[in-house]
This record gives sequence, C-alpha cells and structure tokens, in this order.
Amino acid sequence: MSAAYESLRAAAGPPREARDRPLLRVDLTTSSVAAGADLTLSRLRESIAARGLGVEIVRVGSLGLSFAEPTVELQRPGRLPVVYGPLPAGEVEDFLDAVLGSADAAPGGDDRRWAIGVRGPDGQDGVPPLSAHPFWGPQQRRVMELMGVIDPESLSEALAGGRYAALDRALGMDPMAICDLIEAAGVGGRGGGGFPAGRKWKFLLGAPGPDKYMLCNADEGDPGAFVNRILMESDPHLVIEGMAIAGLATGAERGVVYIRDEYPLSVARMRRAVDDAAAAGLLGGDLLGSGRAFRLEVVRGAGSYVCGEETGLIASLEGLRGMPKIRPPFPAQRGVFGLPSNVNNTETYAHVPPALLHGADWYREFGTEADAGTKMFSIGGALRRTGIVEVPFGSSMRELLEEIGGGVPGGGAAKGIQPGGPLGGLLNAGDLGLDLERPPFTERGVLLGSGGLILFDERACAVDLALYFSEFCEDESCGRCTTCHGGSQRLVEMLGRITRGGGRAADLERLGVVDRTLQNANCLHGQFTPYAIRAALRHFREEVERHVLERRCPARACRGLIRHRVTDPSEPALAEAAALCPTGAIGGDAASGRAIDDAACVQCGLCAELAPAAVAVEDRFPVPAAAGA
Amino acid sequence: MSWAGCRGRRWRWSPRRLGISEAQVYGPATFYSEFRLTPPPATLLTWCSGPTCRVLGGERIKLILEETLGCRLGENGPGDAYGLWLGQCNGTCEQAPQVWLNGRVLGKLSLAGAARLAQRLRDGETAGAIAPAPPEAVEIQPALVRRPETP
Repeated sequence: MSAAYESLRAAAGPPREARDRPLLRVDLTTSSVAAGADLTLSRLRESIAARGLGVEIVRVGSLGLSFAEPTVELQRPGRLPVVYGPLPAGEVEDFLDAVLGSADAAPGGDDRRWAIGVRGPDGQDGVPPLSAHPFWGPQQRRVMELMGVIDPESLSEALAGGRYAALDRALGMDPMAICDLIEAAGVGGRGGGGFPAGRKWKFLLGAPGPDKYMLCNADEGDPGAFVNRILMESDPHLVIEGMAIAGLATGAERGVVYIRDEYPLSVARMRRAVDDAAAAGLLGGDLLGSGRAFRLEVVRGAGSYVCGEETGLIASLEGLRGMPKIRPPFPAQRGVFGLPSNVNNTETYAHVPPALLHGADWYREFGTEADAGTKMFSIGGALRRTGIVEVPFGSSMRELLEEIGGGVPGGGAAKGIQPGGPLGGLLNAGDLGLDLERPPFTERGVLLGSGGLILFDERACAVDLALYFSEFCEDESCGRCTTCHGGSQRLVEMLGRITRGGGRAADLERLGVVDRTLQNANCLHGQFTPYAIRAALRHFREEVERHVLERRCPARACRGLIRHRVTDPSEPALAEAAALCPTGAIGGDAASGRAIDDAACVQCGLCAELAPAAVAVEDRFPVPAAAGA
Repeated sequence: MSWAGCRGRRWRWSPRRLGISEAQVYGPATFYSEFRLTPPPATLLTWCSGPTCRVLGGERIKLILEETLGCRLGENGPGDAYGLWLGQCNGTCEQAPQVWLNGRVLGKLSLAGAARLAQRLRDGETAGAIAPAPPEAVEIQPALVRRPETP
C-alpha cells in the first residue's frame, strides 16, 4: 500500500454506521425519485426535526429494489440495518411512530408493514435477513457490493468501502501484467459484445505515444435497460477507478465518460466524483504520488441512440453528428480526434477493480466458459418485482424472471421475453429456461445485449412489438447509409400496413428480403434493425401469419384489427367512459342506452378498461371464408 | 427541459465566428433530439416511449393524450400553453406506463388516468396543481430536471 493511499484511507475513517444515534439511509436515485423519494426525504427531515429525534440522515444510491421504492434503511446503534419500502411520503408519520417514536414517546407499532429485510447475516426482531428475500437471495453482488450502502457523493465513504485499493495496486504493476490479469480473469465487454477487455486493451497498449484516450460508453440508450445509470448514481468511484486502471494498463493518460443526456443525475454524480477524486490525487497528473497521469472528463450527450455505437460515440465527442463510421480503422488505431482510443461499457470498467484486487481465479468462480463473472441485469415489464440484480453469467433466465422477479403479476402466464434492447429481438416463453450467457441467445437469433430483460404477457403482441422496435430503429438511424434508413422505413411501412389489416401473403417473404438487405448496412444499428421482426417470424410465426393472412391480432393489441362494441348499453360505468372518451365516440345516455360510434372510435380501449363487463373487444374483419384465401 | 439561446435562425452567427460552414453547425444542431431551434412550452408533458411502457399499454396512452390535448406527439397545444413531447426511456420502468409532467414522473397510469390528466391540462390547470413540483424544487441537489431558461 502506497503512503499516499494509506493516508487517504486513514483520513476517510471507518465505514459509516450508527454509533451513538440512529442512521437513516434514504435511496435517492432517478428510480426512487420517480416513486417520490424526494418527497419522502423532505417529510422525513421535517418530521424527525419536529419530533426532536437525533437521527443522522444520509442519501445513498440504490440497492436495486426498484419495485419497493422509495426505500429507506434504518440502523440503530449496535443493531443491524433494516431495509424498508415502499415508504411514500404519506406514510412517513406512521412509519416514524412505529420505528423511532419521538423525544417524548417510545416507538410503538409494527414496522413489518414496510420491512423488506435485514441487511446482515441474520434476522432481527422478527424481520428476516435480505438473503431470505426471493429478490435478493440468488444474487451474487460483487460490483453492486456498495450500491445503496454508501453516499455516492462522498469520496470518504467510497474509500472506506475499499475503493481505489485496486488502483493503488495497479500503480505497482507493469501495464502488460494488468492487461494479462484482466484477460486471464475473462472480464468481457458488458455492453453485449463480450470481447475480452484485457485483449482489447493490448491493442491500445501497442499504439505509440501517450496521446491515447480511454473512453467510457455510458450512453445507455437501450430503452428498458438501466444498469449503467444505477451504477453511476450509486457507486461512481468504482467506474472511475476501473477507468484509471485501464489507463495505467494501456498508457492512456486521458479519459472521457460519455453519458447520455437522459441521465442528468448520473452526469452530476460522476462529475462530483471526478472532481473529488482529482482533488485527492486519485486522478490527474500524479496518481497517488506515483508520477503517472490519468485525467478524466465527463461529457454529456445530447439525445441520440446511435451514439451508443462506439464510432458514433467518438464522432459525437468530436462535436459532430453522432454518425457511426465503417471499421476498420478500429478506435485503437484511429479513435477520438484521430488518436488511438479504447471504448468499454460502464459496467465493464466496474468489474475491473474487483478482478484486479482478488485475482483471476476469484473472478472466474462465477460465470461460464464463454462469459466469466457476474452480470448486472435490469428486469422489468409485466413483472412483479422490477429492479436491478447481479447474478452469475449462466444463471437460468427462468430463475431470474420467475423467482427473483416474481413472474407476471397476478400469476398470469408469460408470453415472451424481450432481451437486449431494441436491437435484441424477441423470445417466446418456451425459451425462459435459457442460460444467461451469450451463446444460447445468439443461437436463437437474439442478443443478450447490455442486460435489459423485459417480460411480457398475453396482452402484448409480437407484431406490434416488432413494429415498435422498427419504428425506434427508423427514428434513430443516423441517416448516412441508404440501406439502413431506407430499410428501416420499409419495415415500418410493411408492419404498419399489416397491423392495419393490409397484410399480403407475400409480405412474409418480403420481410425476409428487407432483413437480408439490411445486413449490408454500414454499422450494427442497421444490421440489427431487423432482429425484432426476424425473431417474431421465428418465435411467434403463427401469430405473425394470423396478422398477415387472417387480419387477426390474437392479443387484441393491434388497434387496426379490433373493434370495441357496447354489449350492455345501460351499464352505469359507461357514463364516465363517455366523459373521458378522447374522441367523444360514445353516444347516447343512461335512459336511451349508450353505443360507440365506430367511425369516431380510435380503439384506445379506455371504455373497455372502465366498463369491462359492458364493452366487448372484437375482431374488426370478418372471418375469412378459408384461411389464406 | 433545458433551453439556452438560439431562437429561429439566429444560430447562423456562430459558423462565421467559428470559421466553419453553416452546415457544420446546422447538422449537429438538428441531429440530436435535445438541441432545439424553438423553446419548449412552460408546461411540458413528456410521454415515455420505452418498451416496458409499450407492453403495458403506453401506445394507447399516447393516443389518448394526443386526441384529448389536440396535438400530436412532438407538438405544442393551442397557444403553446402546453406541449406533448416524446421522452426516451430513463429506466424508471417500475413506474410504467408513465409520463412526466415538467419532469415529475406520473407513473402506473391507467388509460382513464391518462384521459383525466389530459383533460385537466386541456382545461387550463397548471402543472403545479396536478402534481408535486419537480424534484429540483424540493431540494434535491444536483438537479434532476432543468427548467426553461430565458434565452
């Protein structure tokens, strides 16, 4: 341990815990604020002051329990911390009565209404440990170890938690030795490519000169994936440490974190962490007094999906339109500003410090031959427990979605899974048993991607989803190559026509022609654009054929193929539906009976939601005389 | 929603000063969705376009908002009093399907809930009357949402 690091650690002190007064940790991240955590925090502060309680309140990142936001964690001196949630602002008074009382009154009441689990080895006061919770038990939290525990805006807490110990060790290592260790551990690209980070770094190490760039891809554009966001909002120093180590391993003395514009809190917390680290000598011209340099900068994107493609990201950093370029030259030869560069995903960097600290064998303890270690996944959709988890590569997707995630709310049947973002494709429920590593997904023509998994039930339609993803890809195509922008437009046209009842038998073949043509697109964006329809044709063939040949949507999701009809004109709930109907299509009154004007109706389904017993959802087109005729 | 300067065609001053062509400024200025040539309205309803919202009925919510507010996605309502814009998924999918009213997430929306929200906006209610102020006003630092600034 270097003297500089030792003195930083000593100054940081021990990890924060409740010593002489209770400690209340409040999860404050984009996810929890969406559930009103900022309101809960304000109320907690006011109420604790009004009650005359001496409680230390600290804002922390996320434990990943998005389904239970807003979450808080209370630790009394000498006791284990207990995680509670959801705790909306309106329940704060009841909660404080139960767990803390006031200066004049002892706490009384049952806190188990909010309790999720004890963060520790054992239960406490009738509350089981988190490890007994289905969401928590199967996880192996390595990069998530400090997430939701430390204050992400405090360097001291990060240091007390062991951050920068790996950087300190790396400073005593030869660059090639670092690359070798990371390659031996099998740390692979977490953005979906899975390319060994150590091997990628060697390309950059071989490039001449100190003017090289280490770039962090935090343009997590895949909708439905929020792994990088939670990481940067909860433990930013882990990402910074990983990047600094990568800089030492490759001789790159400059780094940039490119964060998408939709993540303002990530930008703010990363900037704060970079400033703090630089002030402490953990970044800058003289890392921990070693004379080695690594300077880091945070750059905010401006809203473009293709900037998540590494050459698009580089173009965006240069101040240009974020248009991907044809490779080669690869970034290691000619990257940002024409200088050799290395691009890795945010999560990839986060895996570097623990791998370097504990060694390759420890890292390979989890995972598979193709994908070593653990992976963070964001799970959502028609799921009981949405959130972020970290499980070993090779875990079963069924376990992840049905046990950890709790399956479809209400116990309904899952229809399929949407992995890997808009370019990832679709799987049907029969593939729930797949192992979470790249090879089985690739075999089925889909991508595991960066870790977003969305479960959907029978309300979702495979053709509608394929149309949705094609629209997304069309909108986000950079427009440089005609193959991509024209091909995605053609897909949207054809799928749109099919969902409006204009399907033709030849479409089934023509969709394949567009798919094959798109394989000639310049970059992966165009090449992966048809994955959704290709997967729909492969895994939901019958459903696609029924749309095309019979003009039927079995899920009754495609609005062009259905019709709403009032079956009980005297149903009272129709009055509210008539008042809310966006096109005023529900005519009549309670006395004469109500009916839907089919010409005005846009099939939004609002009336069927409010009066399910009185409104039928029917197929719009008559049953064909003979299927396929 | 952030907004700084550059109304109408005033962006044209910068190429001359930077010694580059107009196209080199106009390209990036129109490529990225967060660069705009017109300011956002004071009340902005942002519809989340993410796939989790989609599988839970988001597309129908968009339809209801459009029909009730009288403007299409990406447009402002009558007199620019409010706007209905597209938002990219920010990963708060446990609240799906959702919209953001001046940055405050209104989640787990039903179709009827979306219609009621749109009617209140259409009838002139302010964002403050409908939902709590955006997080930044409630003391979160750093700010989660940036309000319109005067150019």
